[in-house]
Amino acid sequence: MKHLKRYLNIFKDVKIPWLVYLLMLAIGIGESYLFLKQATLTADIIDASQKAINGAMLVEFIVVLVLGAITSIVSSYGSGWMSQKIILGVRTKLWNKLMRLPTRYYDSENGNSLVSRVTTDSEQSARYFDISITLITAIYAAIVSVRRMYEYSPQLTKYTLLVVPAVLLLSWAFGKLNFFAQNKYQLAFSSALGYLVERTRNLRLIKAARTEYDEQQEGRKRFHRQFRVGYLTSTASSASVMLMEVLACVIIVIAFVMGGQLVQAGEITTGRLVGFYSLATMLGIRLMQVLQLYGDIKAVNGRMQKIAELLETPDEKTDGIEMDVADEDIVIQNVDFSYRDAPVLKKLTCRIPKGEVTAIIGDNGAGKSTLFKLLERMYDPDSGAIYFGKSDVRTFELTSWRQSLAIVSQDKPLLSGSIKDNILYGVRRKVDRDELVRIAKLANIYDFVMATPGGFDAPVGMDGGNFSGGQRQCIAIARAMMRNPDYLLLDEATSNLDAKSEQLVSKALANLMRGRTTVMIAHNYSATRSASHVIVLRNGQVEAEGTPEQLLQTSAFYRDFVNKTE
Amino acid sequence: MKGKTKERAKEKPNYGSWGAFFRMIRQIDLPWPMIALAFAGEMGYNYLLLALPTTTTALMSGSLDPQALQDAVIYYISYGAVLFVDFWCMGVARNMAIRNARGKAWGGMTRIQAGYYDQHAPSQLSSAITNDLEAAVTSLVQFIISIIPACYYIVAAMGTIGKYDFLLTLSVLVLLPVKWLYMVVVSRWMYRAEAGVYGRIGVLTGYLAERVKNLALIKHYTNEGEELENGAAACQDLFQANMKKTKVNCANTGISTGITLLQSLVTVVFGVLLLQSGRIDVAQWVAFFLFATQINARFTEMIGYWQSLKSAQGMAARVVDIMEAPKEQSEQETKDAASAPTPSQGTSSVEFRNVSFAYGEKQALKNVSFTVPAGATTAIVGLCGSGKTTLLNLLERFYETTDGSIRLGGRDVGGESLSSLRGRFSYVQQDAGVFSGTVREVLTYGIHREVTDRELIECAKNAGAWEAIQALPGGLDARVASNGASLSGGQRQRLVLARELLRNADVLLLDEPTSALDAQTARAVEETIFRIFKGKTILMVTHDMSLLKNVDQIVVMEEGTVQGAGRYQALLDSCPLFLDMVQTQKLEVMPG
Repeated sequence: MKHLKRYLNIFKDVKIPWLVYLLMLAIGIGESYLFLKQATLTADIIDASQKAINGAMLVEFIVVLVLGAITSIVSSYGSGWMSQKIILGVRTKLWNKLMRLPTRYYDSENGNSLVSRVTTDSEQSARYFDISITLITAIYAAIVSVRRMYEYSPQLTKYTLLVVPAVLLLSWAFGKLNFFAQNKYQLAFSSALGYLVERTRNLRLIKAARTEYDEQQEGRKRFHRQFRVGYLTSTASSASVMLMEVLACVIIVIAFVMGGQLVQAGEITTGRLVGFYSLATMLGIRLMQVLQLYGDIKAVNGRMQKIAELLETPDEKTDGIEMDVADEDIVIQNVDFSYRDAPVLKKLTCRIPKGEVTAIIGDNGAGKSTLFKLLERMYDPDSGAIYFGKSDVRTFELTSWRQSLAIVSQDKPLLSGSIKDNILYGVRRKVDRDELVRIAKLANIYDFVMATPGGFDAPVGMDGGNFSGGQRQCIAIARAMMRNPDYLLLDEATSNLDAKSEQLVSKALANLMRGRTTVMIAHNYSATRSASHVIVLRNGQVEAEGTPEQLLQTSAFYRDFVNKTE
Repeated sequence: MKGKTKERAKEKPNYGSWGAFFRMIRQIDLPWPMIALAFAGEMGYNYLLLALPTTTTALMSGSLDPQALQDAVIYYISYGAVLFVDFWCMGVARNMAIRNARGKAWGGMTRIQAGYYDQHAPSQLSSAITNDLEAAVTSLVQFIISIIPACYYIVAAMGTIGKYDFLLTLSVLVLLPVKWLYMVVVSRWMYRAEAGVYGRIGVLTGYLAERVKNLALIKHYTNEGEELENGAAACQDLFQANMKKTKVNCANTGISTGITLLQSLVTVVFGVLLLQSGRIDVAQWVAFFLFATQINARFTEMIGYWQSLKSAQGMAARVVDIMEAPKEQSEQETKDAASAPTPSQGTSSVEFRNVSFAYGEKQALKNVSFTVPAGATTAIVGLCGSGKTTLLNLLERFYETTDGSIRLGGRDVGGESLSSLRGRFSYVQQDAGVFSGTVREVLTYGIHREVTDRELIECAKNAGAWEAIQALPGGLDARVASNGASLSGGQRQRLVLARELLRNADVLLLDEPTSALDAQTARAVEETIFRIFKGKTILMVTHDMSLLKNVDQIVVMEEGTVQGAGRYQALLDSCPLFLDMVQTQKLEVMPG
């Protein structure tokens, strides 16, 4: 209950169709009422038919049946609509939130689980509403059934109600057992699945290492483990089915053995006995339903907790002043930064002069890419600050800050869509064909785009898989050009390319860099030749900074870098 | 980026054919004894179910005959027991069948010819063995066990009520065709509606997964607003598809309630009429009522089994496809190989003689000839798609040449058993060359002999991996995550090198071994490779021109042909393509 408020918050600002909800509740109660009516009528008809068929009763019976059918049709549509509407609302709200989260959040959660928040977890959110309807109608149905049963025969009702605690206890116990068994099964299943997923990704390694037989045995072992747990689940579920059947039989025995006696004693009619029986069965079903709902609510709560956590994370701070000022030097002053307690940057101080090309070199893990992320304001420094001229960058509006820089990285991320969609990504003005062609030529993609069927409208597959690395990078460069940034960040933009592609990309990059302040993370000397300012980063600190000529004198690391990678 | 793969939702389902199941039965070692037991249980259950109405009516008529009561109690106890045995056997038989089938399919998958892997995404292969197989085997076992007992119940029950009055049987019989027709039609609608929802979920998941992965890009281009709209549109699409499903559900409820209604009317009205005319008595009428409900339930079940079997056809076909795909080796051969010692511990020459090869229609290699002397290092360079990796694949016989021959140590590679041939190669991929397990398991993967810790440590030290291993909690027993994700790229590659050093094969095949590493790490790993594998024959596919000055031979590939072969300096003069490649890599980045 203590989480109730958190869960309610999930539905804040989500439009809940209350009117439909109330209608569904009314229909649910109506359905229960009709069932009661039907049982009563059956009893009366049986009693009456011992003498003669009562036409009016039959007609009434038919009317009740038809009404029952109509309500169940209406409720299946209405509750479906209600749930889907709520799910849509929660889903959109979650996606909205995902767009506004600070980058740090994405580091601690893996991407797949964030996606499933929006796709599958959200599906469960509407369950609260139909669970509440089921609960209220079940309680209503239980109460009216018991009242009617009592009316038919107080004695029989007492004995039947004695069975109720046993039913509840047993189904609770078996619910637990089943839950336990299912959990174990899931564990065994995911172990086998994880194994298969990993191995199928690299079946050639199995062939090259000649381990086909070993792997077959290993797989069999895991499938067998899964089977052993299957034993347990089979036993648990068959025992619970058996028990439920036996309990149903007990109800029959009570109803008919004791009832038979009462009929003979003339205390109850045969028809009412039959009616009593169907009401008692109904009561059992309703009670089990309520019990199941308890488990359902717990499962839904688990999902909702995850959703609530996501929604409670504070948004990325975006406000600040507009960035319409002249270019300035960027000064990084005394910046400390850690990823999950591991310090990455320590008291980092350096300068990025405007209008020049700055190269950042250093070992893997020295903090080069992290520095780029801080420059982009994907993260804020733990202490210290980054200044644009004299002002702390945090005082600028986030959007306008990010719009003033462009990054070209070795991941060359593209999105599915057309080539044109990718080039124009994030551009909010109309771009005519001439401009597109001009940019494409500068980015060295014009020729291959024209050679691709569809031209600028040619589709880009998931992750740009249908283009070569060089082509992807040139598209990314065109995208950066389209944005016309003042500052350019290059993160090993030419690594992992074959010779031909590297040539293409280098030319495009040169066009992009013209007239812009550029910071590049470089892995070999030839890429840094155009740099007039070099920063040597080691272990999160600046080891040396200056012109290439100065560094040749002062930094052993730089000399080594030049010699080794020339 | 809107209007993407909407077609995916409309993709035609793969219905497969019934043949897939017959082929599957032949392939998967069904646990017949357990199935027979479950069948017997199911028959027993149906037999007892037939006796239910008569037992109940005796009690219902209000007789308190101790005999009837005793019969009833015995009946209910045996009913519960049989139900338990039936369910249990069924569950166990199903699980056994799934286990056996998985073992078979997985074993088969490791032995399929490598070309098969190119045509299927890994996720497709693993889901064939997990999801498809489970669904197909479950419905198959269910069908085999339950279909005959269900028929038996229906026929026997019809017979019993026929004894009361022939017209009663007729009244039940009249409605069955209607029910059958309805189920067939509705299940088609359902299938279509569900496929729609499934497709939309796929679109939404695909969209979200791509965006979440590229969040930095979205933030960077400050495009959150547009992505929000796109996401909302995908959610709206899914909503529409779900509503379609709701409508079908609703129609389904409507029709099925209608049919149930009709049925109760027929049985009640008809029963009452017969009762009035005195053709049956009250006990018979009550029994008839119970039978009619049960017959309908059984009939629905029967159609359900049939339909689930039918909808699993496509999945069965995918599983059978894996089992029946041509294999490189038999199970026995892989078993023998697992215990056979590594073939030779020396070094061999490699010779390509007029080798041609095509992937299907696509010519990948044309008349390739070159020789790598034993103990020499040869680098293969060329643009992407020029056939470099194909050369390595042919050497290991992942594929067979279409023309020409490949010789290892002077003997044709086709003349040796696959396993002993592959034992003579060490194969180092770009990345992800390890599976999860302990460090020790990673290092000894595929090494079929006892290895002492001392030997392990020595190899790890040589490969420069020992320092990193020591730093891990547990050292050699530390866990390595799936695909080595808990290690850095450099550490992973060094573990692979240590493993290959331990294997000590004749020929080392390197496929861009350092391209996933940063420059400094790459240099260090390259140095290690040339140091520890000195004296072995090395074939290395690379893009890194700086490595080439020191190798014994460079082979330049272009579009599946050899453009030149020789030492660095000689090639610069004789091969214009090579000169071009060397020059472009030296090109600097300079504005202007």
